[in-house]
Amino acid sequence: MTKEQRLQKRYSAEKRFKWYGIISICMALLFVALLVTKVLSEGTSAFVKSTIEIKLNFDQTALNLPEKPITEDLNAIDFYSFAIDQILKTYPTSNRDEEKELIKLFTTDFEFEVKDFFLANTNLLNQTVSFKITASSDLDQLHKGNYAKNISEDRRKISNYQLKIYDHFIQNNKITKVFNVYFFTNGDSRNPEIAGIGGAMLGSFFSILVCLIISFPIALLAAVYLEEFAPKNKFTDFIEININNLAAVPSIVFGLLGLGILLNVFELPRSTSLVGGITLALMTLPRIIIPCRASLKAVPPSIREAALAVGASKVQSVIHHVVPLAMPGTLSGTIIGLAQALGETAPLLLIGMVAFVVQVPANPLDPSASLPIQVYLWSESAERGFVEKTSATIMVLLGFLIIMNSIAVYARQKFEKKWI
Amino acid sequence: MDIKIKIKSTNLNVFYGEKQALFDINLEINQNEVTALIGPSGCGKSTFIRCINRMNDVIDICKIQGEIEMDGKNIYAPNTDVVSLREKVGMVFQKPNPFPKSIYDNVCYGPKIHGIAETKDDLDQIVENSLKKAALWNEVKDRLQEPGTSLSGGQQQRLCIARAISVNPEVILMDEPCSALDPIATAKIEELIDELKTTFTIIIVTHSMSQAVRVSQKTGFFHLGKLIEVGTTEKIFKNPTNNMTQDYITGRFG
Amino acid sequence: MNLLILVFIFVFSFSCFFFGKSQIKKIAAVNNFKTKALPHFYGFYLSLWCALPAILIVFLWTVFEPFIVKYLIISGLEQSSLADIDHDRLNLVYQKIKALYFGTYSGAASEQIQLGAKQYGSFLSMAQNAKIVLVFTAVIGFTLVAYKKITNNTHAREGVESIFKVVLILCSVVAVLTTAGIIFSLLIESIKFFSQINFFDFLFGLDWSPQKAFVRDTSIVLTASEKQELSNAFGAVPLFAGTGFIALIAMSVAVPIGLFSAIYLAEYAGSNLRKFGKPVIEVLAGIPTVVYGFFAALTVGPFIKSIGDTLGLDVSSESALAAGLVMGVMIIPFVSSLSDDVINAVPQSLREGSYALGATKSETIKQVVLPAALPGIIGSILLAVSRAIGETMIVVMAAGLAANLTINPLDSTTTITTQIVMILVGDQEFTSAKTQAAFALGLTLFVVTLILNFIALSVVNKYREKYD
Repeated sequence: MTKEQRLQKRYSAEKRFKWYGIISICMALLFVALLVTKVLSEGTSAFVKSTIEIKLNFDQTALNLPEKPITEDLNAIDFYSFAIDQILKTYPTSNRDEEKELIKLFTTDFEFEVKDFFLANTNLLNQTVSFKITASSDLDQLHKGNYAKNISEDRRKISNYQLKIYDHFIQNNKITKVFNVYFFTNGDSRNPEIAGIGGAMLGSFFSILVCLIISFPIALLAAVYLEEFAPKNKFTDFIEININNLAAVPSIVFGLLGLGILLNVFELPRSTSLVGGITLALMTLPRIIIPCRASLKAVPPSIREAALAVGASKVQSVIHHVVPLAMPGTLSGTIIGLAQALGETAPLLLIGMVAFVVQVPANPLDPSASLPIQVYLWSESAERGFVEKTSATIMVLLGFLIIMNSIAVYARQKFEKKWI
Repeated sequence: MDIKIKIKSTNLNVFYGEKQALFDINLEINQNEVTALIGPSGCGKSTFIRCINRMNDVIDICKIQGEIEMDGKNIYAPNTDVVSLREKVGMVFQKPNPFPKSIYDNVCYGPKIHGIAETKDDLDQIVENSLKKAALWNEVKDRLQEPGTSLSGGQQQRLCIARAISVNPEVILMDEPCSALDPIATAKIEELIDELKTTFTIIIVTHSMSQAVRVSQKTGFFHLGKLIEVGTTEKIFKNPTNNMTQDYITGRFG
Repeated sequence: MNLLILVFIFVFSFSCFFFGKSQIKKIAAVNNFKTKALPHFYGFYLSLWCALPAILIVFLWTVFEPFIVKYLIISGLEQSSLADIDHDRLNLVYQKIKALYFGTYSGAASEQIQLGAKQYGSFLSMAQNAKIVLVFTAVIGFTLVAYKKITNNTHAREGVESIFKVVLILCSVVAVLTTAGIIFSLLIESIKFFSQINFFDFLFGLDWSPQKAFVRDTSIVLTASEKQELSNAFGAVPLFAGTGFIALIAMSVAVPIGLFSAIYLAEYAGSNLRKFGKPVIEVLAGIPTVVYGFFAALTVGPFIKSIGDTLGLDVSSESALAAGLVMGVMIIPFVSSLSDDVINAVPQSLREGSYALGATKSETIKQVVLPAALPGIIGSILLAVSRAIGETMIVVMAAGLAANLTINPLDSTTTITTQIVMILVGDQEFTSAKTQAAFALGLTLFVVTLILNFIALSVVNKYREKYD
């Protein structure tokens, strides 16, 4: 091989090597792009729901109300029969089976929607109004184009008769898409059309709140001790080794800890955000201690010495001077740690936050799920209606994470002093 | 005896971002001679020699104007192959920087990537020759597989010189090669430089004027990025033309 | 009830603060001496001594009360006619007693259980009364002692600061307590497990079918062969193999991409690209693993299956390949970030030495920089492997549930973490071998990741010493 040939070969190798790097970075980015595209394309439709507009005639006699009805009379109305009656009027038929199919096009909660509407607007007595009832999940998915129409009837979720009704409604502009408030206010449900992440969001909120309240003070004080006061001896080394180890323990082991000790020994209530929060706090502790220590270390000794020189005690110099200066880094580390805790699923699974919880939790002692667990549960479901909800939940979860991480980065950049 | 000009810089200006480091440097380096560049810290001597093997390319904000010719060809011409240039122009750094490899691997690295050796025996031969020329062979011939970093400071620098020699360059640039070494190691290296000049052209940047006197035939005095005076070593040190040169060599500043 | 107690403590100590602060001023004026600290420190001193011991008592009492009550009830049961029933059965009875007391017990309760419920109730109220008395005594007692100290003009600020330092130390010890808690909870259940299942059958057995360990009447003594059959159902080798196999696939994705990304960003990229590139790759680390699992199960898995089908290969819908690939992407930032740090730590003088010899950039990287950074890179790879082994959600959602010993990436296989989740999610009896197996698996996982992390960190630290 001549000198020139060899040189050429070396330069080609150089170019190839450079390209490996670019391709690697692109592959990583491509994955993120694919994920985001899938989630966005599937999830946006979950934020709207299909509704069917029907006429409700709140006739006093039809509702079996006396002349001058009082509140108890109103609450005692049989809204189920009333609603069915009104629904059947939209597409009359004499066939019992066909009536059932018509009713199945509406959400299973139809009576409650009518009830809530009427009790909030009792002045509508003896009037006829148009009201939009949430459609059933099958009709919702059909309307959003997720069901194939041209396969044989026995393989479809919508029967031919129901398709006829659907087309009729479409022609009369009875079917509209509205913003799906249920997605944010309701808890989980077997019926996709009324299932929401309200319960999961509150569950996550309470867990993270408990986690923050427990882990932040303890982590801050521990970091202050290790950085400022701890003598250099075996005991301190032992503590540091423990903290570094805990930071690398798989999260599922914390779930086992929660199950074994918090639930089994301390008999705390299962499936609650309280236990979830405590488990997450134990996991988040080292993740706050480490950046907090780094921030404390970054404060120059001259600040401490200046405080001592004015006659402050060591404790005072630390509390009044060093800790405030280390706050930006500590807070951003805390927010990032909380963001990681928000996305954790495995430990919460083991302490039972995976139960099917319909009631939106009112406090940390109520059983609840969390956003990531909701994603897990819905992704396992076979129903088509949950597919878009899973992606939408991911969107909400990622949204929170983006906000939290951005705040952390912004806070660090804006408030951190650059020591020269 | 024909004195051939090996390297010639013409109107060389060097900028680090907005700051200008070298102003209109016109300097000729003669073949098979040792040329010393002296001057106070920060005056641009290292910048100058780093231009000759285009090491300044590594620094993003460095901009070069002007020409440097080697054997009549401008090394800053657009289609110059830098890799081949650096095969011809070797460099020894201020702080010895042997690779964290064995002594043998340190020296054979250069020949291997340039494909100079065809067989393992050739490679062994090159390593031996380089180490001999660098006056290190006798001290390390029994421990070629030990890491280069296990040697003393002076030995490490001679290893770096052996490494530079191993690719058979024509020019060797030395950037204050002895500043990190003790007097005995320094003396050994100065001896080495004297022998090497018969085979190579050497440019040495030095803080020590006595070293310049001992080792070089030609000297250039730099100050604040300008080449104040250049001439034979004897003339510069015995009878400088420029007042500033006079002040520097008598120790009035720097 | 606890809330009331805490409110009481808070209010009392709050007023102690003002009381102490004003008292010291009065006393100092009357006796005409200079206080050794500012008045508010005396206030703090008094209120801290009032509140902290009491809060500690409340905390410890609340935490250990259920434990002690359970112990009392169960030992009471043991002494009665149920003396020869084993511990698991007693636990069941205890749960029934509790349920009856709290009104969640359905059906008719035997007289024994009703008696137990009454006993439980009386224990609880006794404990509550004792707690209140103790707290009250503590609050008053400590306050009086502290007050005496204040009137003697003690060094209040130093006193407060010592209390503060004790609090600091306690907070630091929480980490140690957590580790202790982990080891304790894992060990206890694992020991129970290994008392039923042979340790070597667990470590080296090839058959993992925990469904064989149905909840049985623990009063029946197993024959030796039944015991052996039970023991054979918990061979964990397929789990170890599955975990390792999927981790291997993940690393074969993460190491090249992570390393090359790190090299490119550290050596080739301009400063702008470096500023954007590193955070963007970090984004991969911030995506929750459940989202990765979702993507793996619903997109990557079916995609691989459809490709396999068109090629005529037999692909499981829960292939190890799908789980491994997605896990690999998740791990990229672990490899890339740490490698980036160690590559940047290699001194520039080494690179310049190589360039000066006429080497190209890639030659310098391959033959000088990477070998110099190798220990750190290996450390980062080990840490990434540890992360891969401990990962749960991706494999729970995308990998299989059946223990399958295979080296075919298109097959499905299960992992340690998947099994832990599957066993523990849902109704579990804390006494069956199945549940305890989950803890034994957890212990194995903990020990392995601990060892890996230890090796990784010591490798990285040794490397750091060389260049510092």
